[in-house]
Amino acid sequence: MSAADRSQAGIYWQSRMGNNADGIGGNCHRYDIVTANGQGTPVRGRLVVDYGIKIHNGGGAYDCSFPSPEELFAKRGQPDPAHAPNALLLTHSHEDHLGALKHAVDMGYRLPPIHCTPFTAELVKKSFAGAGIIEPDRRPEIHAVKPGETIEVGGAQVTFVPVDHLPGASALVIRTAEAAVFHTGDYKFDATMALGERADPELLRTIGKQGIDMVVSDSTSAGDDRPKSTEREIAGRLERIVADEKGRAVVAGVLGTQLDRVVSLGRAAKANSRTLVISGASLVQNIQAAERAGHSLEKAIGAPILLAKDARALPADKALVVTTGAFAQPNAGLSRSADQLAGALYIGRDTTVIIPQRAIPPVAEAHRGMVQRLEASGARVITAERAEEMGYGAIHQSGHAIAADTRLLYTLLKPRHVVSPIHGAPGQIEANGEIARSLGLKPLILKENGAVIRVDRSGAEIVGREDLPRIGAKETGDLKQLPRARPGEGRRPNPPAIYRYDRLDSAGETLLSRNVDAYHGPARAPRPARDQQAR
Amino acid sequence: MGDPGMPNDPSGDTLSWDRLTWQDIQAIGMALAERHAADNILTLPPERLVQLVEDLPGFTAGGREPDDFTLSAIVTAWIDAQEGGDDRSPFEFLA
Repeated sequence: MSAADRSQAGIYWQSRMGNNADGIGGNCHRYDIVTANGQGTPVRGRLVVDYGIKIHNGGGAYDCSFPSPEELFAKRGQPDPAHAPNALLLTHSHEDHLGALKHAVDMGYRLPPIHCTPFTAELVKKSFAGAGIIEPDRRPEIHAVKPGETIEVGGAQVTFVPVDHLPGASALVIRTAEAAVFHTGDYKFDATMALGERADPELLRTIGKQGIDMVVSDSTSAGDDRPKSTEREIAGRLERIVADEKGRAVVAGVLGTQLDRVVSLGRAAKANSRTLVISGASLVQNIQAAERAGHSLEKAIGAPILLAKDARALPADKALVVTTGAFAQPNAGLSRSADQLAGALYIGRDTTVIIPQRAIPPVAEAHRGMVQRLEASGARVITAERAEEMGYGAIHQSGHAIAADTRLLYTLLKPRHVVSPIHGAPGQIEANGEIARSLGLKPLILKENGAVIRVDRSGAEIVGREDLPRIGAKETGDLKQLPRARPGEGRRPNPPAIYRYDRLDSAGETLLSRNVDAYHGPARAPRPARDQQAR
Repeated sequence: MGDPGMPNDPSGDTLSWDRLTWQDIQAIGMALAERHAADNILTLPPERLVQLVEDLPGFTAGGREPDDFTLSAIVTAWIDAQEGGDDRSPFEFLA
């Protein structure tokens, strides 16, 4: 398939992954800018929005896949080819939006300057550090953008518009003289979330009045028409649950990225004269990153947070311990306690465990097993599902726009031409499209990645379709030998894995070439027995 | 004594290095976790972190100033050493 013609003025959008064919994984979008500057000189630019991974669940040939970096980025040590992008723009810090960055670097690619909000920047740095990418010549430039700020890059004005999802989450307005695209990233509306800036309906209405030609739109929960709970309502329900467990130890299991839920738990703790105690590497990493980015959980809660190591003298009924494990992932705090591993947090007959996160299908079986083991130890377990049955109400809400949010966004933006639903299961994509239709908007539903859509003031049209190879990544079993870490020794608890990279076709089904662009740094054999020992 | 600059106690119980520089992210992270367990890593100001590293036995700045990325990587290694292994779920984005 030949390259699409991108010569006429306008904005060209291409979904590389993260479209219908991929559900919500591997998000990556290419925007080509063809415009003119104030003197009438032609300007061409290229922007890449997000570069995430798609997780392969169930022991297939690959652990994850992501869009091939071959046509996106330049190789390190080689001159920039004509197609090198001007910038990589990140909407937020989830792995399905930035998890492929470290892989591209390990494959020998040089990433363009990254622009993102401060919290996302902190987690990009942690992602590279966690992958052992610490040498200055392998790291990209990272430019922190203030929420709401507009930057000029690649011939376009790009505005980072705060949305409610996690700290620093942003939609992007990409605007030129010829066209304007609103790329939602992951979003919802919840004015009661505590951390970061809130989605501002008035700002969105103003952006709409300035003119939006196309909305590229998150569909994850667009088909959900049930009433939603705000984070403030969830905090109130958690407060009631904790009050009812007076005299008992209370442990909550969350995900490391659910910082607003941690604030809600902290407020529930404070209201019940308990101190919030946190435990678990990813939780501590994320809270520290939030502090660095100016999102203080302690300020949001109005009380200090203790690390578990500093809370040993605290009576169990005066603490609310928040740890990891809401998805029953191995090595998380709740999982380790359920398995009664040495060094794990004690959970027993006098403990109430709260899990304010619904179990999702890929983890349902592991979650069920973990809850059974916790109960076998004598603990009382209140899952998100049980909390509703017990009359407390919902203690979890999706981080994505439900139907009402989706309607609100389109009503505020009033896009001139089309809405393109992406990032969702097929039923959710259709539901998103139906909402657009109900508002008199034209949905552009793309069944596959690779279509090139040209947008300008007169409309949006598909001008071509390109084959886009992707990369299947599989852990080799070897680990990176980090500079001056103890040689051949597993003291570091999670040394970064080395992956094999295979080039796959655009559907991710056919192997095109094996073992491309492998990591060539120092390696060592794993020491699983030591690495998996109790802390 | 083995290679210059490598840990001189391969048993792993007590960490000490002949020489540390800003490039030794993992070693610094582990050393800080051992020696400064009482510090609050959540709110540690960057200048205090720099001071803690420069005060580590055997540390030599070599005229270099750490950049923001290096400090962030050191904190990441410190938290890893303090809190234990990777406890993330690959499905966190589905929450």
